[in-house]
Amino acid sequence: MGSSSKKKKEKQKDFAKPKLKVGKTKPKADNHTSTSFRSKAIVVGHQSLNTAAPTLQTQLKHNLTLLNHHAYSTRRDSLAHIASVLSSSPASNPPISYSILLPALAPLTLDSAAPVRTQLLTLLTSLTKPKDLRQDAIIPVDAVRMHTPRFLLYVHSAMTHISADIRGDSTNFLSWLLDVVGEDAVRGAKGWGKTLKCWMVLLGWESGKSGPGIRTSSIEFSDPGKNKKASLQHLIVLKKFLSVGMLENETPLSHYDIRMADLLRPHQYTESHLMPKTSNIYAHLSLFATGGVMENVNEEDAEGSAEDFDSRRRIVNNVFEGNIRAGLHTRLQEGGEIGRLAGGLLKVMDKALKADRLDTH
Amino acid sequence: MVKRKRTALEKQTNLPSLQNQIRRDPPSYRDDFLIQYRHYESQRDIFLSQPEGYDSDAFIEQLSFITHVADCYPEVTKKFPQDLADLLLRHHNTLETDLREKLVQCLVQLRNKDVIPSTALLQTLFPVLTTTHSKQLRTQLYQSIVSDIRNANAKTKNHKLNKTVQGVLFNVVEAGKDSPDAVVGLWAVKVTRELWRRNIWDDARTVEIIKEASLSANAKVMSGGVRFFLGVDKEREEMDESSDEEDYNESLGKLRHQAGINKKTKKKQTQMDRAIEKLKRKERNKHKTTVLNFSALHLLHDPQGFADNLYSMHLAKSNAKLSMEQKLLVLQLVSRLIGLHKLTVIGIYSYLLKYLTPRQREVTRFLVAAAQATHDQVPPDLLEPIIRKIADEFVSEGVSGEVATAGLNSIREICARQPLAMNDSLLQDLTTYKGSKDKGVMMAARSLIGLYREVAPEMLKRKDRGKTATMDMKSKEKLRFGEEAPGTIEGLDLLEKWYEEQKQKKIEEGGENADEEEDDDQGWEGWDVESDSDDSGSWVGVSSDDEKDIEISDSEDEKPSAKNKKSKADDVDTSEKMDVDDDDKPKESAQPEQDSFMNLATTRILTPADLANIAKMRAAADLQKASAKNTIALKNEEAVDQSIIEGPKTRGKSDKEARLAAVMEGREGREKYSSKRGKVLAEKPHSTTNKEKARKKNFLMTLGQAKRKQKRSLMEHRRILKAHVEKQKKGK
Repeated sequence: MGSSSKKKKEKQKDFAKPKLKVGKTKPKADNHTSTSFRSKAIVVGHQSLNTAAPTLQTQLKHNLTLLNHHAYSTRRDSLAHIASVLSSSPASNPPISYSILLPALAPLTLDSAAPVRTQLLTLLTSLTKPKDLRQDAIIPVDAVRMHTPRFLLYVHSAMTHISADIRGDSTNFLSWLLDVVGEDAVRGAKGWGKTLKCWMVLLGWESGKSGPGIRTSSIEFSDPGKNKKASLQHLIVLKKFLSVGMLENETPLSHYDIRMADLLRPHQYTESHLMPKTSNIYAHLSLFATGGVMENVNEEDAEGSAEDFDSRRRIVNNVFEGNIRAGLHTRLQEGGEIGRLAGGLLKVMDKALKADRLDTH
Repeated sequence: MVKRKRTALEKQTNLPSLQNQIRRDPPSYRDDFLIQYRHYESQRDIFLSQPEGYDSDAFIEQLSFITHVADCYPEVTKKFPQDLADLLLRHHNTLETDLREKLVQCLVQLRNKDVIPSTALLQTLFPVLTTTHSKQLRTQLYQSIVSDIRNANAKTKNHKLNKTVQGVLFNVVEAGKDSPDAVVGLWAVKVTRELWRRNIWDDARTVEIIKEASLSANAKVMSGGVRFFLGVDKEREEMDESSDEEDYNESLGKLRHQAGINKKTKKKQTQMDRAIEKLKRKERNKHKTTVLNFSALHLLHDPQGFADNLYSMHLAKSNAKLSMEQKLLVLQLVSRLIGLHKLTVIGIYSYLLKYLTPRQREVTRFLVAAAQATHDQVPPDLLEPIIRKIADEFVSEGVSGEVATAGLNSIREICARQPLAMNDSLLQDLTTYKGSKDKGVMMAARSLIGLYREVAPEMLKRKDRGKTATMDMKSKEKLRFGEEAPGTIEGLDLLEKWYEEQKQKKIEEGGENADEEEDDDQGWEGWDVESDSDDSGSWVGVSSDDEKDIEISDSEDEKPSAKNKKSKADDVDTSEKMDVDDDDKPKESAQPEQDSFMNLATTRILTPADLANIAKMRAAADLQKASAKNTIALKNEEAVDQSIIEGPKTRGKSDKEARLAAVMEGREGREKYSSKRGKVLAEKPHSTTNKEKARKKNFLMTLGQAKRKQKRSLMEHRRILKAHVEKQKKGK
């Protein structure tokens, strides 16, 4: 009897109307069949296969995006691919604009993987060096010159990077820049003062300012200048840097030049009144800076205008000379290859600054 | 030195470890830090050369590193905070969210390390707060600003900082005051409100900021300011309540412990809740006396000017930009100000008149405003049209009970504040509603009668006056405009009596001259206030001459003696007990009792002991009950509650189905009442219990046993009962 009433209730239940409520999902019907399924793999029956291979441009673009890939081997391979494509294409009609390519390459100076950095350096050197004297380089010097400030930014960043390997490689890139664009790499506050500051910390020569004499220059912490091989490389590049920055090329003028000069120059200082030869010479005023930080430029400061040799010499004289000389002297005492290099560097300093002093007198 | 050499051998490979080492020994790691600082600079330059689309992870890491160790090398990082501020100020709209968040964090961190002062931080954050488009950044900035000011004021009030910040906020509000599009002030209001709520700012300067905001042309800023005045004090109280929660954790712990041990039932739970609530209230009351807070409305400078400006700016000219709600808020504030400070804003009464019809949306709030805007200095001529209109529109035969209730209640509220606004015939008309079938209307009409019984019984119909009011009528004077009732201290007569008794006792005991001053000193014991024994001769009564002059001029038809009494009573003010009325005028002998006990108030300063005494004696005399009747005492300072106007809510007639539906609605979502065991059983799968079986057992099968039960012998019965008791004792 008890169970029969239970059964009755159950039967009744079947005919009960489901109560619908606002805001609640509708209850599923009893005969509802679920059509969802789980599968380990989905096989797509038809796939569109493009028969035409992608063009060179699209390939290059794709490779440029791969420069940000997380796997270093991919980055290295795409660099190699870019290098091979560019070297086989004519310089007059590049498959990709340099104003896209070069800014994309610059950040790789800071790449964490050594192979990528080496690959980048080989790419840059091979593409900017003319194969033979009659031909132009594949990437023209002007293109590199235009992007020099950007490269410099990344070189600075690399010179001060926390990883010693990146710091070690950083000067290679600076050396490359000096080779290619020459004086343009050391022009302006960014090129000269900033780079010199980076040099100071890179070589561990900043200690002159530290004051209370807690550190002597003989103890070198963590890394600065410790690695023999790296410091050799650093000193070589520093020599190059200083001579490009402070020593004018005194190539003897040809007869023709002198004649033309006499014609064109009615006045001793004509040069300074002519249109400037270099681009953007008032960069230090940051007239066209888009909301950038306007730094107070002080003549005595390290980051003053360094557009010409005189001002560069003055900056070195005012700010860095003491530190550089002190650092070089300690290196000189070490002797060997490094000592010899340091001696050469000291000579460069003497020559440059003597010229300056002569000028001023 | 040894340690230094060892650390020198380690190579720095990541920033966190370098940070750790720098923190331990800053001078040794100076070079490493310098490298990192230059790296930061170069990263910043890279960022500045292309602010958009910059991969900022490395930069963020660098930023946090330098921030953490910035205090170790102050001379190197001199420009760092300014750099951060510039980055944020210039690029806050284009920066990546992570980087932006980090910048704000770094600045706050620098502030916490005391590298930069609070003002510098706020000067950076506030402009960004007001200009940024990102909601996320805004909340972050807002929180950091508020928490910075809070921290600065944590131990003692940092008045210097507060002053500067308030100055900045004031300028922000004032700058955008005249343009309807400037929403900058909104943030100023928000910050101010938050700090007020937390009791960090509680001075007149703060109120000045909000005052300026309430007069701004922008509707949002304005309503923010107005809302502040209307609601912030209540918020502050609530904040206080919630804040002192920690104090009674101890006694709560005991309760909780008990609850953990005893059986858990719903009843116990509710008991516990109630106990907690009680404890909280007790604790709150303990603290209440110590906190001295002035309400924002009281701190206003020049309330009259403020109310005038508010009215003329937002209400008088038809300001189409304001919504109804905003206008109502302004109206509420203006009326509140008028009531609180007894101001005169003549325009508002005619303005209100326009909106007092039953069909007006939110009419109860207009009625509330009308009541709030009334005080005893408002000329009755201004109020009469309002009362007339309310009576005509709300209280007539055709309207529903609710409307009539609202009308009558609002008339009562107005008349309680200014009884002269009513005339005899209207009052007598309105009192006829006391026989209404609607409960609300009837109660409202009765309360109106009750009011006039106290104030002016002669205006009522004879049968409405009641016995006591009729008896008092003879001694009562007619109401006159501008008259200030003489204040009394309740229970003062009792104190006087007590003093007499004490004197008697002393005389009986020793016959010495009881020195009253000594008594005074004892009364002040334990109170910081300097006890200045009173000397009535040295005080000069200050009486307002103007009032006297006016009264003399317009009350020629009245008895001169009454007038004299009047003016003298004016001089005596309860709030300033030290005021002593001039002794050269002899007191009228007509009412010696009334004046005699005031004598005590005017001849001596009541000590706290005296006041405590009064309270005790009043409790003893059970006078408190009697005074509870006197609820109609003017309260023009307080806001009128809307529920007072609306009257008691009655549920309309409804049929059974509707009622049942309402009941069922209440039950929705409520768990079913049943035993805990039953619920547990219902959830888990189980076979039928014996009880269930017994319950479902076929009736016929149980019949036999039932029959047998009746035929059992006494012995058998006894054995069964005994076995049952035994079983119960064993427990199941």
